[in-house]
Amino acid sequence: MSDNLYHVEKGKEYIVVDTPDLKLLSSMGVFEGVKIRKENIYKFGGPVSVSLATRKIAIGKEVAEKILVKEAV
Amino acid sequence: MSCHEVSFNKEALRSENQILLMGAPNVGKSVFFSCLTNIHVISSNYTGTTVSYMEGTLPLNGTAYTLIDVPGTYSLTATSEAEDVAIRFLSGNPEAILFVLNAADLEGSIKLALEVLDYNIPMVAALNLSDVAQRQGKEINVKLLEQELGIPIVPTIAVKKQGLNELKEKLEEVLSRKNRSKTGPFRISYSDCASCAGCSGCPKGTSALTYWERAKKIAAVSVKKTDAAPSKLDRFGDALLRPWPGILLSILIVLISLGVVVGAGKAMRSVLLLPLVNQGIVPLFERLFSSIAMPEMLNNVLIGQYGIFRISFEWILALVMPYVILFQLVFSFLEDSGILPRMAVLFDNIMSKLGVQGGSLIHIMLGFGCAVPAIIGTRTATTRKERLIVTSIICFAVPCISQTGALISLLADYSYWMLLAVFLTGAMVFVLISRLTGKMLKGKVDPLVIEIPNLLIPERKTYFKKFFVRVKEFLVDAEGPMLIAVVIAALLAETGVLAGISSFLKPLVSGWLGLPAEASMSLILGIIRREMSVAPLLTMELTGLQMYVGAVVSFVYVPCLSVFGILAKEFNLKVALSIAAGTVFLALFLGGVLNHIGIFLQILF
Repeated sequence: MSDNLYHVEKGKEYIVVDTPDLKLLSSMGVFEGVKIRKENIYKFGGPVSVSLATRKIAIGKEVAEKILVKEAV
Repeated sequence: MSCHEVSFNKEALRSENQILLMGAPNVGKSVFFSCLTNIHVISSNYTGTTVSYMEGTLPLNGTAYTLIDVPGTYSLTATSEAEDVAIRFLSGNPEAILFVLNAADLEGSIKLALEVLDYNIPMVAALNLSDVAQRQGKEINVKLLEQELGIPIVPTIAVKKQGLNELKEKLEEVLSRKNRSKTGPFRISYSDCASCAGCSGCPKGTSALTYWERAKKIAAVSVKKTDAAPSKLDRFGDALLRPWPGILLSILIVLISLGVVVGAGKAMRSVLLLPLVNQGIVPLFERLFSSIAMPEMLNNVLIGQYGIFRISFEWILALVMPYVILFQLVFSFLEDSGILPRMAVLFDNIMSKLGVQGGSLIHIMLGFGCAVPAIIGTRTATTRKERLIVTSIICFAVPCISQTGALISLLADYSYWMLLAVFLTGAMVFVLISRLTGKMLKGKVDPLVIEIPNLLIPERKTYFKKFFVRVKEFLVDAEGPMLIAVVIAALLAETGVLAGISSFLKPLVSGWLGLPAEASMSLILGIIRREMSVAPLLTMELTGLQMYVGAVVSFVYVPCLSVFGILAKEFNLKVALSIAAGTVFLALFLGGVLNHIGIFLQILF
């Protein structure tokens, strides 16, 4: 079961299943298999903020919708 | 031997004995650069302060090396302009690399370090921001990390100048070792190609993923988590990032900043500077010039109503300086603290409705200081369309602090509502321009992807140094054009030339805009400096409507000669001319329309 990062519940940890073809994402540390935590979501078309192992990043809605994640167990 | 293809590049090879200062964005490279070379580079707590490279001299072992502040990158895959620059330098056969690791983001730093290590250039690393890591309960085993990476590592807190001497010693060691045995591998744990990943000719063909895997393993063994509770600062940083209470806090921070700049600026002006100028400096020159026999016209040019020695002090010292100083004090704090990127995230939704992304907010706020660094800063935009939209917004709808100061002096003395009305009109121009340029330009704007830095309390020394550099820069860059504007104003007004120009422009200035004919001075001086289009209005008796129209015209009118220059340099002459012509047209059009609406309303009520 995977869903896109924009829609999943915040405050939980997820494993990234698929990412759009955007080099900046992988060079910042978001790629298949990585564990991330969705921290915040910003209404009215705003981004989501996520924590990686040691850094926090914000990802715009359009990109976040294309990142597929599944819940980490 | 390196297994990477080396592309020969003349520019990058220009200077010999290069040492590259490298690392991810926002890890403090520019602070190292400033401390090691004594050349001050502006550093801030958000990514992308260094958009092009800087070089300075670093003496080591009695040799003068050139230290190059390479723009920060997250990887070396040549996906952005900054990464291209970094790769060019790496391929230019540098003597050594000074790599800056972020102790608070070790995994990300190590990943980039591994990529750089594959170029097989002697390297020393600084483990910077070790105080932040400690604050977050991370204990780093430096010995183990040295072994894993095979390079010397020195823990540092660059803003406090801690660890810098040791870093230099290690660099000297590595450089002398290199000179003794040019061919021998300098690294301990890997041999040349064993760890190489992904040159096109290389059979190993590994991807970014393996770098991350290795980085993760190395970080895992060398970091020990202590169970320190998150510090107040980190909790505040998180709160500022949540929509609630982040948005409220951001608005409060902006209001407080505005209050400090406007309030303290007005106080400085009325309590200190105006008495100093009006009762001290100007009378002094009046007495001085009256004691010397000279033709009346010369006397007027020097000390008449628009005399050089009167308005240069009234306008530059009393009108502009207090606001410039206060703005830099407040803004430098916001920049160094890491508040701005949080605002970029919080207000990304509004900005994307306007056709840009939240990150542009940082450039726009920078533009409230001066448009020149703001436009240079837009180099970090990922598409040309985004860059042009943000640049247009800055030119049309963002007054620089000198101009804002002049507008405050003009309008707030009349009524704060007037000030509000002018800035609301400015906000409408902002929306109009972003929508219009968004529609007109081809291409797309990429969505926001931004790193959120840790919140920091600016280190006092670095903060004040930056403040003084900024104020000095303002004095050096702006003083000349301001004085030229003052001299032109004096010559025009006191020789009677202005009267001629005014009668020529009367249909436009008085007929269409409803301003006194002498206001043509504003239109002439505004070309040189933005605030100089406001300053002449201060000396005129204006009605409320005239003040509003005059302020709106100056607000939108030509974004000064320096900005024109930077537009021509960063884009091309066509862009510079279009923006300049656009601002003139919109300023005069909008001013005239508002004037006529105002007259119409006055007749009605």
